[in-house]
Amino acid sequence: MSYNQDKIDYREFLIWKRLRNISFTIFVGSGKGGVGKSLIATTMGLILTGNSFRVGLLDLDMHGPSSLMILDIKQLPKEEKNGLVPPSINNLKVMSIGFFAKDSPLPLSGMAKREIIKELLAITDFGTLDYLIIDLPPGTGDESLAAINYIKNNRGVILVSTPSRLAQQVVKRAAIFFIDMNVKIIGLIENMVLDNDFGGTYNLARELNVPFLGYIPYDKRVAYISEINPKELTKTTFAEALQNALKKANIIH
Amino acid sequence: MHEFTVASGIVDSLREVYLVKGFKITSFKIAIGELSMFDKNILAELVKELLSGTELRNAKFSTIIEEALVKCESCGKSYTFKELVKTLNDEEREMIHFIPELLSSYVKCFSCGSRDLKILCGRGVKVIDIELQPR
Repeated sequence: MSYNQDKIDYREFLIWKRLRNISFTIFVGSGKGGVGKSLIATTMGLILTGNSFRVGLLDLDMHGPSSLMILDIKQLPKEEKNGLVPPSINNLKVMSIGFFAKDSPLPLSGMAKREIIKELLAITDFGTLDYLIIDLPPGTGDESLAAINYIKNNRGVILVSTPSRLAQQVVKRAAIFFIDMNVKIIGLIENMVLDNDFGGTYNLARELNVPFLGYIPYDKRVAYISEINPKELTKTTFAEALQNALKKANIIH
Repeated sequence: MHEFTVASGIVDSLREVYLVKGFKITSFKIAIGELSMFDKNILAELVKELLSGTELRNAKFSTIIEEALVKCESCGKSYTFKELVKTLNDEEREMIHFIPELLSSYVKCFSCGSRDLKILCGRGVKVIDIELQPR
């Protein structure tokens, strides 16, 4: 007698097993590139570990992984019996394709990206986490689809926009995508606000009937990230505004 | 090399078929893609050891190597694992061992120089030809 599936992908089981130890997954997305998603995802991780949460960060931006550079991580994941243990900075455990690709190009097809995401989720041993933050690339392509497909429960998304109408238009499309995929919208953030010149993200949140988490001012110190010590990130006005957004989302108190 | 993680993933997922789906597994095959560069004997030993303490201890299994074939999507030329791997240093091999799709980060088509390389077969480890009986 044959089982209706005569083959097994053991990685799906490993992913399921590992996700049981993760209380909640926060996707950080946008739809639009260059809005500060990665900086928000990494700083959020540092803020949460600073609030005594156990946090992991998974950088799924396959073509431009930047979390390692933002956090100045040089140490490689450590190979242990139960998988690859990611290195930590300020207790934030970080995994990225950047560890494996170094500075080489990443010419990846959609199917290749899906395989890589499955592999990373299967082999990474984050251990027990209160939050897993997933830094998504721009768009709603294979990376977002695969992540949503593997992480089916206890998940939500924070969408990042800017005062630009163009960004809001793309974020709206992304928001509709996440709503359709049954991913809870934790809220919208308007990043890179110059001189209190607010854009329409608040109105977009109202239109979509999702929470608006606040405005984050353009912070020169953060914009020139290569000149800032990652440990100082949490002391910037950027981080202060993000902290307020996380309070509004009831993620920290 | 992360053979133990893979071996325990294989055994745990097979136990899931036994415990949750309600089937006794009589035999299965482990197909090891060449690009994963897993040591066939180490993986087989670990699976055997992990199975021995479970309900599946009597299941028979074998390991086979699935040859890799990679095609350049630009010019259509195909390459075997042996042709590709000889150009890689130890560190690059280790990265591809973990993530076979990164092959195109480290190798270009020898004929046209393109990085649009598609893995047709032989990428990772699969459990195939599972034979079962109702419990």
